[in-house]
Amino acid sequence: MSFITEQYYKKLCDAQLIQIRNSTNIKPPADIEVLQRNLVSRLYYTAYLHCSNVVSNRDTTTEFTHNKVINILSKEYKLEMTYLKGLRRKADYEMDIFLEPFKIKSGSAKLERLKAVIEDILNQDESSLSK
Amino acid sequence: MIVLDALYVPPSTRTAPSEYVYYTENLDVLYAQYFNVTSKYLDIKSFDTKISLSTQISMEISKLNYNIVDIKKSEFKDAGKSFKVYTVELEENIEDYSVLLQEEKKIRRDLGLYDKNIILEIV
Repeated sequence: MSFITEQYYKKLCDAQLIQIRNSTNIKPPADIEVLQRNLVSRLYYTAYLHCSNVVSNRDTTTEFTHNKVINILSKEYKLEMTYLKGLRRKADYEMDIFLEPFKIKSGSAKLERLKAVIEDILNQDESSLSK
Repeated sequence: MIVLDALYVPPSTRTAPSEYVYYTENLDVLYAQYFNVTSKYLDIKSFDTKISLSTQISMEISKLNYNIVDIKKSEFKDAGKSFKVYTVELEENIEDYSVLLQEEKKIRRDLGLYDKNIILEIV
């Protein structure tokens, strides 16, 4: 079984989201932020690897960049993946501003929505993901 | 151009299925109930009216009977393109975001957001 078909990142995300749901006991708060940043990053890669795997049937180029994969997608998923990519970049690189969008309700509410977005992407095959 | 924006009346305090108070840029106040908003909208439209996207989103979400706490607008850029994000915060705690996501997608399609590089996220 390959890394993608086994969905190792998705399993990791599921486990991390459960940790965040129960995060009232996690201290200091920076530890929660680490979990949130990790989860956003892994959620994006869960979706990206799926899209890359699916669209590789359509394009025989051996090397894919993130933008190349995203540009093959339909309008709907192209927009979704572009947004996720931006969140991933903030989660991994921008140490001051990442938390701002996660102040809505609780951080976990937005992460629960992101998880639903990723699961929706994972359920799509080539014909529904691509243009 | 008259720009309308709406003060949304949450379902819990409504006397009709959906109510909005519209403010024009001249601070005229217009009142409409959702089920007759079309006729009022058409009347207003003859004066070159534009209803803000936030209001359109509010109207669509009201059909689903959710209470809106806030709508935040933000922007980001990717590969030289600009994208707008409308983040709608609901009062309700959502049990299953996969159901809400399908409703969110319908609103995006109905309002033509995919063609405008606008992301809607309902949380």
